[in-house]
Formats: sequence, C-alpha cells, structure tokens
Amino acid sequence: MSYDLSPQVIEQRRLAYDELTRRYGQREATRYEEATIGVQHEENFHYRPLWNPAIEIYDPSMTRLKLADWYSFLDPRQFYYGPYNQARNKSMENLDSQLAYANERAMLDKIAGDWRNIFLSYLLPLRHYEYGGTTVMTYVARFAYGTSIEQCASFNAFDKTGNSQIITKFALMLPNADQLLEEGKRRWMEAPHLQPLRSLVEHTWLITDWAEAIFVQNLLLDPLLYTLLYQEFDRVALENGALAVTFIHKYMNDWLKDNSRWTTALVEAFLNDDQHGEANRQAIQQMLDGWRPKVEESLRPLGVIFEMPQVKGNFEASWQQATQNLDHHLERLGLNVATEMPATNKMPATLAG
Amino acid sequence: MARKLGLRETYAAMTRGVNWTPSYVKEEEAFPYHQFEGIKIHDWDKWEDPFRMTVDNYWKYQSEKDRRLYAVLDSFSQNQGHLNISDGRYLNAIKLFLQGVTPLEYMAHRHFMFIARYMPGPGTRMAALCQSIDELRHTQIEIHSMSPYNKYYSGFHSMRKMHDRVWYLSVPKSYFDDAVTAGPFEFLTAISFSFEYLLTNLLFVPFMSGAAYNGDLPTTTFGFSAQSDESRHMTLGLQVIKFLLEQDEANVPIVQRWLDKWFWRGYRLNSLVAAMMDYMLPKKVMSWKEAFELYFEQQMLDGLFPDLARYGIKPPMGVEQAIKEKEKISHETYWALYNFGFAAAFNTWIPTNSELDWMTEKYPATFDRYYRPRYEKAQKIVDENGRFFMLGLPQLCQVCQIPMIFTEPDDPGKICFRSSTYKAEKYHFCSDGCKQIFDWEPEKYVQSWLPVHEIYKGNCGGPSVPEVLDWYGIQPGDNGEYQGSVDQLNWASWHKDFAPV
Repeated sequence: MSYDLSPQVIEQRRLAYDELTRRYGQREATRYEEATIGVQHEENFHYRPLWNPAIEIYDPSMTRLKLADWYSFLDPRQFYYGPYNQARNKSMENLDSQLAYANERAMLDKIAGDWRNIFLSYLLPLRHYEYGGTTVMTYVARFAYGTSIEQCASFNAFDKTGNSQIITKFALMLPNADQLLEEGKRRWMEAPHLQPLRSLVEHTWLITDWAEAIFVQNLLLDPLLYTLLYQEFDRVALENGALAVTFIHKYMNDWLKDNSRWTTALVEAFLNDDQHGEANRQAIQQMLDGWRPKVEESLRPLGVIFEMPQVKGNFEASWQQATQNLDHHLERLGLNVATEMPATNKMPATLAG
Repeated sequence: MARKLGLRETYAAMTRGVNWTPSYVKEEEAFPYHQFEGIKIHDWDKWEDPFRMTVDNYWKYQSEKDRRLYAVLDSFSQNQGHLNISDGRYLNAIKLFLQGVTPLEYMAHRHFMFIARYMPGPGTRMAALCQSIDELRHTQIEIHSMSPYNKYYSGFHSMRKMHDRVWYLSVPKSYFDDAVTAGPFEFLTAISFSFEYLLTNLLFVPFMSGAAYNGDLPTTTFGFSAQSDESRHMTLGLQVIKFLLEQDEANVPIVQRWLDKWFWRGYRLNSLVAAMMDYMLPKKVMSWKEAFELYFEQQMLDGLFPDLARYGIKPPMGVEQAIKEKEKISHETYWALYNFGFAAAFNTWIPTNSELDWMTEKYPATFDRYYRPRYEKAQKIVDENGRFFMLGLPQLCQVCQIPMIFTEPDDPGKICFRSSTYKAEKYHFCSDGCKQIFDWEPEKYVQSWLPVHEIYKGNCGGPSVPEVLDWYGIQPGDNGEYQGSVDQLNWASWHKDFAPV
C-alpha cells in the first residue's frame, strides 16, 4: 500500500543546463553531468601565462593526443566531489576498524623482529613513492584538458597523498615510529634497491605531456608495483605471520582497482575517437613502448624484498604474474605488448640497510 | 611500549616528512617557477600550515558536510522551495553569482593545483592541494544549488559559456585570468590574500547574507557549508603574506606592489557586488557603504594594516579613492547595468519608491542630489514611452574592463578618463589605479580580450545586437526589464495560484 501525496505542480521551463541538453537532448541531468561537463573555460583567455607564454590558460596542445570531443571521456565511477568523498570516507572507516582490530588482538606486537627491517625496505619508503605520485597528478590536474579528465586526476592526486598518509598511520602504530619514519626516508634516499625507482619517479615529474604522465603512472608503474608488493608480497607476509600489514595491502589493492577504472576508460576514449583514434593509438603505443622497459628496470631490484622473510617469496614467479596482468590489461585495451621483455637480472649487490 | 608521537608531530610526519629534494633530476627542472618573480625564500619550514587536516580527517568532515547539504537541496527541489524566496527579482543577484563567481571557483581549483605541483615547500603544497579540492567542491555545490532555479527561471542556463563571452563577465574573468597567468607568489597574494582575506567579506559574503535575508535556502545552505572551508582559505591568505614578508626584506616592495595592484583589481570587481547589494536584494542586508566601512575600513585598514606596518607595508594604492567612492560606485554601476541591460543575462528595474527612500537614508550625501533624479526621470520615460536602453557600445577600461562609468573621485558629475600610450597605441582607463596597473605591466594588458573591441572586430557572432546576444547564449527573458519579463509574469502567476486559501 502507498498513499498519495499531492505536491504543488508547476511546469518546468528547462530540464537541465544548456550544456547538457545540447549534448543529451531534453532530459534531466545527473549531478555528475552538471558538475563536470563543459565546466572548464574554453575560449577568450585574456593573457598568456608569464611562466609559459607558449600556452593558453587551458590548452589542448598540452598532450599530443586528441579527442574530437573532450567530454567523450566520462568517469565510469561518476565521481564528482560529493560521491568521491563519501566513497573514500567509507574505505577509510573500513581500514580504521581493521587497524583497530589488529591493535586489539595485538597483531602488531606479534610481528617478528625481522619485519621491522622488511617494512623499512618497502612499506616505509613507499610513503615517499606515493607522495611523488601526487606531484605527477597535480600537474595533470592543472594541465589536462576538460573537467572530466582533470577531475579524475585531482582525486588521484589527493588519493596519492592519502595513501602516503595511510602508510604513515600504520608506521605510527609500530614501536619507535619516529625512528622508523626517519630510517624509511633514509632508505628511500639511499638504499640501492630503491634508487632506480626513486630516479624513475623523479623523472616522471618532468613529463610535460599530461596524458603520457597518466599512462606511465597509472598503466605501468602503479599496477606493476602494486601487484608485486601489495598482492604478491602480501601472500609472503601472510605466510610469515605478518597479519596486520595485510589490511594496508588490501586498502592499496582496492584503491588501485578503483583508480584504474578511470584510466582504462580514458585510454578507451582516446582509442575509440572517430577522428583521432588511430593517431592516438600510435602515440599511446609509443609512450608505453618507451617507458615500459624503464619502469620494469626500476622495479626489478625490489626482488631483494622477497628474500628477506624467513619463508621467502618467489620473486620470479611474482614478477611473471605482475607483467602478465599488465600484458592482459593492455591487450584487452587493444594495445600491443612487446614480444620480448627486456628483463634484467641485475640485482643490487647489497641488501637494503 | 613505543613512544607515541603527539598530534603536531603526527601531522608533520604525515605532511612534511614525506617530502624529499630530488637528486636524479635537477631541482630547478622539477620546480622551475618559484624564482622568477624575485621573491626570496630561505626556509620553507617556517611555513605554518593553516589546514592541519590529514586526508582521512578531510574525507570524514567533508563527507558529513556534503551529506547535510545535499539533503537540503533534495528537499528544496521536492518542495518547490523556490516559491518561498522574498521576490522573483532577488534571483538576479544569484544569476550574477552563478555566471560571475562560480567559474572563478573553478579557476581557483585548477590553479591551486599549479601551486601544489610547483612550490618546493611541502607545507605550501599540502595547503594548496587541500584548497584546490575545496574549490572544486565549491564549484560543484554552487552548480547543484542553483540547478533547481534553472528549471524555473531565466538567466541560469548557460553559466560557463556566458562567462567566456558576455561583456560584464569579462570583468571577473579577466581578474582571475590575470591571477593565474602571474607567477605563483603573485597568484597567492592575489587570490589567497587579496581575494580570500582582504576582500572576502565584501566579495563573497554579501551574496550569502543576501541569500539568508531573502529566503534562498540552497545558497544559504551552501554558504554555511562553505564557511569552514573559507575560514581555512582566509587563514592561508594571511599566512602567505606573513611568510613572504618574514622571509626576506627584499620581498617587501614586491609584495607591496602586488597588494596595490590586487586591492585595486579586487575593488573594481567589487563594483558589481556593490550594485547587487544596493539594488538587487528585495530585502537589504546593509548598504555597500556600510559594508565597505565595516569590512574594509574597520577590519582591514584599522585592524590588519597596522599589523603589517611593522614589515614596512602600507595600505594599498587607491584606498583614499575607494573611500571617496563608497558614496557612488553602487549607483554608477547599477545605472550602467540598467542602461545596457538589453545585453545582460539578468533583469534590471527601477527601484521601488521605498527602495529609493532606503537609498536616500543610506547615502544622504549623494543619493538625492545625483542619483534619485535619474531614476525619477527614468520612471517618467518608462511611463510615457516604455523601457529605454543605451543601444551603443560603451568604451571599456583596458584593465578592469568595466565601461567608463566612474566619475572623478571629487566630482560625481564628471566621468573620469585616463590614458597611456604604449608602442604608439593609446589605451584607456577608468581610474588612476587601473592606469598605474597598466603602466607597470603594459605587455600583459595590451593582450586584454575586450568585449566591445571584439564585437567591432567581428569576433562575436555578427554586427547586430541580436547576433551578438545569440552568440552570448542570451535567450528571450534572460535580459532586459524585469517588469513584464518571463520571470516576473511567472512569479506573479505562481503566487496567485498557490496563495493560501
């Protein structure tokens, strides 16, 4: 049963903002559409930037890729500020309750002594890696063309700072956290197995083509690193009884899954563009072919981490898994995968620390 | 058990400890933009973070605020809440806000990402990142708050396109374009300090207070919801200035020049707000003059600037003129809007008799002498021959882009004209302030996209008024006189139909 309420009815003059009815015809718009489509300024900019007079304030030439319609890309998650915050807050509440549980069951106290050194070899330094990712994504957020793309990059930038803080939060639950943080930073700056990665991250800051910057970080670097450490090495951690850290690993994995949705949709938009699809395909392929060997070289040295626990991990198998996942993802997108990977067997001579 | 870090240390570990100086790429390649303005920073660690919010706390507080805001918006739409505002005329203030201010929130969002990317200090970067995300929030909640009005009223339908094209909106647009094309420290001085701190109670708050007085629930709710964000931004603005002044004495004259420029730029932009406050609100909050005296003369000139004097900072250029103009600018500006109202995306009207009386009371020195006779004459013309408009195109100031409508500081009867010659071309200005700003940076302001010039150049849809209005995206009912407009007729009929029995 239901009862009938009679609200005042007066005729609407418009169903939605013009930007949206022009595009979608006469229908009501979603809040995502209102908040996103056509919001960025497009014309009649008054002055050239003093810091780079070659470009307009928003300039489509900041990438060599093209879209006939920049709003042909839409975030499959339909994130504007509101739902983005709600979603992240929910994940954070989950993580907080898991960490509280870990604390309550004294899981952290039970982590064997060698894990302190293991955390110092990957997790603690990675808070700097995440922070370096913010630097890339703030660039994209400023220079990408169109609100639908830059909005995803903005959230991605904020997430990366969030991820960095989540690692810090975990570290702060461990004994002598201040020393851990300090030593973690020292390793990020100096430990041989992390230097190729730090070098790569610093070089990604100089990428000027924002689409390239997205693809290097979100199609290559993050997926490989996250699979290796937060999926594959997570198994090693569990086998060794390091239970508490699995909640951090899981958060990172779930985040990656969520974040890759927009990147995948963005690649699809570039590849499916009627006018520019083929040129985009070639350019994206070139970007990936150029960066993939460098990314892989920067990550191979992380193999030493798999050797550190009592029950060692099988890095080569994990590496195969990570690169295969990446290959499958790129193939599903219709991109080529180089037939022979320039895998390097070089391992740093000395172990971290 | 371990020594636990205190709150302050935890926050520092989360936001500052993560930063490192690159060594595989050159530092000046990674951060190339923070030196060309001549600002000297010796110790970025001296930057005090005003936000003090970790990302997880941010998500928690902001998602709670959004949840409440959207609940109000949903209920407003469901219950035809727009029928409860004070009068249909009121919404013209909000049209001006959506067309003029919302796009600026978006510009701020994008350019704080530039600061978040390029400043070498981690505290500054973190503050800019948070503010950028906040500004995206403001853009979007404003669009959502005003969306229910777009369904029933004129002038809301095409905010961004109008902002890019329509003549009076080139005033706010050129202001923000000016800021984002400047170097990063000037941007912070312009937006964080001048816009968000020095002038925010004059620029932003009048719209929100006006909403509260006139029964505009979405805008009021948005205003309250943005209040805690804005107070963070204000704190950041003050921090920016103090940080720059304390880092090196050589920064003082540079900052002084920026304060001079951005006070005047912001003050001129404010003339649109002044007109809105005095003329568009059926229920008045306070007069422009009162707001200027309270929020600028008392709070800033008497409160802030004595504090800044110890650094060697003087009150900004043009302050004396602004004080003289407080008797005039709302009237001069609204009169121009009334006259050129055929080409604006809001309605204008002659104030009612009681409103004229209110202005007489608020502006005893000038209103009856200079402005009331104009409106009485206008009313007579309207009564006898119908609504009139000034169908020509006005000369615009090269810097602030407002038509040349302002009078000499000491003579409300004489239009003020200033000019400069640069590379054999003559450029025109509304005031000494705008002329000075041009003379400091002529290379910048010769680039101005001046709406009137562009119409003459043939860049705005065609030579005739209907062609230009079409290119602006102005639809019948958006523009012109309020009395007899679509909005006024609808308002009358809705209120007749739904009057309580």
